[in-house]
Amino acid sequence: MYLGIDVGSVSTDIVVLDEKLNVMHKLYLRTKGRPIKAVQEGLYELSKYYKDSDIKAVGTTGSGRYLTKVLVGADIAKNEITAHAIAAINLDREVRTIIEIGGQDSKIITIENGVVTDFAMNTVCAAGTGSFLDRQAERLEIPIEKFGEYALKSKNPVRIAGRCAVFAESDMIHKQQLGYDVSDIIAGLCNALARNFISNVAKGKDIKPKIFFQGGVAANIGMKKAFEEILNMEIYVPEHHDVMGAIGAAILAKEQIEDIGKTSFRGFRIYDMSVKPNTFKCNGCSNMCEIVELKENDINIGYFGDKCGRWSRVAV
Amino acid sequence: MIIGIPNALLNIKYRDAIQEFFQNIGVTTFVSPKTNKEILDLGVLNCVDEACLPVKVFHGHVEYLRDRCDFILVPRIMKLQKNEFICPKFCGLPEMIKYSLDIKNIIAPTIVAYDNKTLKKSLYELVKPLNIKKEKFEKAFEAFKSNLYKYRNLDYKNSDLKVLLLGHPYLIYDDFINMNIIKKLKAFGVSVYTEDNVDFYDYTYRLIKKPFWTFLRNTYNCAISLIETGKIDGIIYVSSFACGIDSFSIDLIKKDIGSFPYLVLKIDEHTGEAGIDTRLEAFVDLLKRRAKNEYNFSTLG
Amino acid sequence: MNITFPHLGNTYIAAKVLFEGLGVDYTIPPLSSKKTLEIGCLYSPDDVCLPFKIMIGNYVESIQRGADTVLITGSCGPCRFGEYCELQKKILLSLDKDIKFIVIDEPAKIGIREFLNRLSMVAKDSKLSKAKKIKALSMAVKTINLIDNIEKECRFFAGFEKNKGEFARLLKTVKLEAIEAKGAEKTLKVLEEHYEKLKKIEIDNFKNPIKIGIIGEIYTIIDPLSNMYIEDILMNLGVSTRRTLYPSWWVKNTVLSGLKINFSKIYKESKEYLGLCIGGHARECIGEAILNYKHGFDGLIQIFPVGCMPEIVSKAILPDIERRYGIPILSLVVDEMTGEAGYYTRVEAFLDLIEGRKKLCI
Repeated sequence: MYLGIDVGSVSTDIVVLDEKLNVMHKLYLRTKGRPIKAVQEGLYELSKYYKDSDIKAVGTTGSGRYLTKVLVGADIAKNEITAHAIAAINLDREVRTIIEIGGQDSKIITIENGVVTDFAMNTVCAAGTGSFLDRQAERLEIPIEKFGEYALKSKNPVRIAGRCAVFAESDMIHKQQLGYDVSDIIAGLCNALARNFISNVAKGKDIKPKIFFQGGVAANIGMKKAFEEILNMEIYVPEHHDVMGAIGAAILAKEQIEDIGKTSFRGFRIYDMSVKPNTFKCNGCSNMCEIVELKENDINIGYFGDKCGRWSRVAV
Repeated sequence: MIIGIPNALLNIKYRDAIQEFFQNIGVTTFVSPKTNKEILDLGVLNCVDEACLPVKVFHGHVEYLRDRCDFILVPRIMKLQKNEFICPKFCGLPEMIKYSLDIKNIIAPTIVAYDNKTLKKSLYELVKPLNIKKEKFEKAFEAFKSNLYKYRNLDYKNSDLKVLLLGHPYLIYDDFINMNIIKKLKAFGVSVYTEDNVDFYDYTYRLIKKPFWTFLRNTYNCAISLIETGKIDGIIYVSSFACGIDSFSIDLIKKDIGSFPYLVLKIDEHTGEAGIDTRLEAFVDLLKRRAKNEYNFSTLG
Repeated sequence: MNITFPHLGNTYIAAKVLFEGLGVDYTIPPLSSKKTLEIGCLYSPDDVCLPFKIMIGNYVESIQRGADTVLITGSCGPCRFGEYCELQKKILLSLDKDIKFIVIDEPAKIGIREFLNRLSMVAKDSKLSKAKKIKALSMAVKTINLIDNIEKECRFFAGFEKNKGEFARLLKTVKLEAIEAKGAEKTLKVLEEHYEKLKKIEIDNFKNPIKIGIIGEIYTIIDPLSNMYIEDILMNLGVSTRRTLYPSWWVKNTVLSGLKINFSKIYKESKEYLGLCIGGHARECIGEAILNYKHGFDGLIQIFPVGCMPEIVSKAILPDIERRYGIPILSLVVDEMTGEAGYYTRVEAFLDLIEGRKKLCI
């Protein structure tokens, strides 16, 4: 079985895939700024069902991929763009475009013949990402899970200026104070975010069907509908859309292990260890990289954060 | 044949001259309307993200004209003064338009016009493919020249409070992107000076290097001249985010004028009108209070 | 007079050779670090481009160490770089630091006579004969050519090395030893020795590494602080990189354009897209993009600072080159606020994209 871990800024997703790459188990945890703890919690949960020897390979992705790689002894750490693409291609060879909206960033990936041809990430601002929607849901006192439902009810979406998070929010408050219907405001917000995505992140990209919509925000049917209306194309939301990054990491780990043979997985026991990061400045050259050293019960388990490989290559 | 003239960048300032020039040589022109929301959206959607607002707006105007005329005029304005430049983005404007909008039917004359001779040459090159008779061209050219300074006559009411409105002409004269700033100032009872309706002198000797941007030289000279001659009470500088030239001129002026009232308004497609209004009102209040205090001082003294 | 200068790649080594050869007092600013950038951002206008801010940081750190004169190169537009000296002098003045600026503009613009006049200001304190001064200058030119060549070859052959990390180590030691060597001659000797060593590093010609061309705005692609050490990172990942715009290239180009010789293939290649000089190095960016494709490179990374006027134009053109030649291009825009996570994610994903395409071709 293959373990995939996606440590993002908002959530930490863990999946277990079987030999045929079916999802056997999936976990969705809040990172809350403590990635080590989130991963440990997840491993604890999984240790109830699996033994160390069940795990043939481990892959990590997301912004916490290097930390997690050292922590669990993963075989590969890949960026989330590649991980998302691999997961989607593996699911359906026909996929040509991936729209992915996560907690803090959003991306578009275009694919041809099962190979990534182009990609882009949001550069400017977090408007239109999961965290922003969460906050608006909180402000409107509507559970985020219900957001999509509300949006679908709307007959007359209001137009919200949504190019920037701050102004989108003030515009929304303004519309609320004018007395617009909540569902019209939510639908308007979804439209604004989808429009923004198309004119910002997806600027100049060839959007061709089949289109996959992945990431936590894909659960929002209002967003799916907004994209479908703007692009005038059908959008597919895969069953495991919320953990596609983790799935991709697990698949990449499987590929990697076919090359290197044996996994370096450190075992489920690490959920019980006290692991602490320690940062220091490397004085090897003028780069002065900030190196993170991971210590487990005061024993060094690895380094990351250097630009030249001097530390991260050190086998411990 | 209809030639489309995007109503943006320096075309705004020279619009009438350009239009009449083409009329005189017997070519029909079509000028895009004043910038509006649709044009702005078209520009923002199609232009490179990192560009400044006026360049994005220009893209919007060209996109608007795309199916409405046979050719679109996208001048490559290199120089309007000897040994000076306008801006790198102006030099590469036809390329930006061509590749960002995937548009082929543009006319992109290179304008190097620092005196009568070079201006004439630039325009002659432009109309050469049309086989215009020399006489006709001469006449059209003379008319073009006499129309160039139309904006000098921009009227302003004489009031006690005088503000110099600095900024590139395409920001000053585009009411949509500057959110009607001239009208708003007039409503506050302020008389508005711009580079185009005052005379100013050369103060670049104060700098260690002669500026090579025409915009920078004009803004700097205009600001310093009017302060030195005591003609104004305050300066408002309208600038677009990511403007490379303004990132220098704003600070060069600031470092030279001490505590003279100086308001910088930065504009891009996200700018909210409410924020601009608040700042304008506060600035005018400040000027009024200052004037009153000075008056008090002088009566005491 | 104690001369300092802003950092630009390996120029500090050449500057050391020049000033030591002339026998003039000088201060090398500490290599640009996050602290340099912090100082620069504190005193510079917000909207100004990144190189300006780092340079201000360099000056301030040098002035703290006793420098009183700044030597920089200039240009006469239309890009902002030509106006740097003006505002930088004013900024330093407002910090109560009355620093003299020696601006070496292109001879093509200010004339050979004025150019030489300004050069001689640098050597004003030198007691040496004119011939010896010229010798010092020629040694400095030799130095910059040598060190840039070493770096160029290390960066390219790193993808082919048999034992991982050898080129990276050599590149690191040569710089450290060169700056510690006493005197101009010894410094040159260190460089020459390392160049010999470099030739002996074993390479594997059967390797097929990813080859990437680095193009864009000259300062940000040379200065590792502004591009977040992109070349080091690619080197560590076993990628071969090629970059034409080195300080030595600039010296050669400037001198030749002063003599009105247009030598470079770059301009021939860029002509179709951008026939005129629009300031900065937009033409070089376009020309290099096409040249790299012709040299069989797998991908291009364009880097420029936020708001860079000429590179905005090239960014608009690059997608057409990408489509026409089928070479992937990644544009990275940097400033003091660029986040590391997103930056490296893009670079890594870009390498994966290229690897995917390479596999497909085999």
